[in-house]
Amino acid sequence: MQGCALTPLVTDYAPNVPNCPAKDTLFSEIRKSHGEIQAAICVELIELFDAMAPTVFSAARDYLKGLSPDLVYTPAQLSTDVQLHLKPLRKLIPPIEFQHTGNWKPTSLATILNVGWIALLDLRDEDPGATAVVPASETAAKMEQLHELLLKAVELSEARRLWEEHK
Amino acid sequence: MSALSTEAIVNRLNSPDLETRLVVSPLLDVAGQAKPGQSSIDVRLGFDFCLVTASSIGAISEFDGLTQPRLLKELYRRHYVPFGRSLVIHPHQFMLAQTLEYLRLPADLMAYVVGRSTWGRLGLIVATAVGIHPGFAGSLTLELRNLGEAPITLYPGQTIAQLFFHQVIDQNGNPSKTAAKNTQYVGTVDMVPQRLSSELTHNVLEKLVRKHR
Repeated sequence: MQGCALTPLVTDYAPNVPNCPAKDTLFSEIRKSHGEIQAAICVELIELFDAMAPTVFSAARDYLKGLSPDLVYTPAQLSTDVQLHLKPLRKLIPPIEFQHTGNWKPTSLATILNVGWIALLDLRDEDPGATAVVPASETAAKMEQLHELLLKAVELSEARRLWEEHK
Repeated sequence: MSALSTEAIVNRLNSPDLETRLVVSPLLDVAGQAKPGQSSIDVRLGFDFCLVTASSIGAISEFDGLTQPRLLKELYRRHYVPFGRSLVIHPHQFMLAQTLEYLRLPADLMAYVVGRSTWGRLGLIVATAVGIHPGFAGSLTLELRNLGEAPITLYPGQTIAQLFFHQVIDQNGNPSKTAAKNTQYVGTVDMVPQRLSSELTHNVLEKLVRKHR
């Protein structure tokens, strides 16, 4: 993501990602299937990963932006989307489209999904689980409603996009 | 009860206040669908259709087990028709369709959906349950019936109906601030009917039906 510092994948960040084994263990494991030379190269490459990661990431990001700027979903875009669509979504207005310089534009799939996730997390914060006051069925009904609103947003933003393309 | 002019409708569509904003989205051609000087906006035919599979069931009876939502769903066969494809409604055929637009009414507006006269002259009836309550949110379900003599090909995206809006006032004559949150179709986007009667009506009638069986 643009503007984000790279966070290494360590156990406390992504607990399901295992730590890299010790060099000797790794060498033994890789040697079994790929031979000594390839195993040695792989083991030595590990130290270069941290140095190479920003370069690879940057190249990948530039490549995607070159294909289509919309393919890269930025933190800034997330802030804009949340500001624009979250409150309306709570009022049963799905994120179908938005006004840009006087014209209506379809929202992107990334926008719908991310605003949807924020709305869902918001819902979980409000109703952390079934209680005497908020039964599980009520929370489930709200989540189902959110799901339907997001599906509607996907369908109708696509309709808007097709319409604009063929106008 | 006064109807909103097209200009007033457009103002409501652009209201920055979410509580009073009217949502009809997406309006693919604002100038064409909300013509100045009129008092309605046109809505388009959507992509989802429900065809009745009458032969697979007996009579629709509220007290023979067919009122459960699961069973009511069995009355219909769903069809998704994308832009560019079509569906034919034959003479005397009935089907459910949806508006392409998603609609959300604020607490102080109600609406009527009415078929466009051009379709009416071809024999196509578009809506029979025409009233839309304040607070409604969802795509409108249209009850289509071809009363004409010739089959009619329907294309999603065609302007098929029009919405007329009226302001709802409370007992003091002020714009209403209380939308009907618990009515049957608020916040729904599904076409299939949910129930025929309120719980009380259903229970009382059921007792009477049992008594006379």
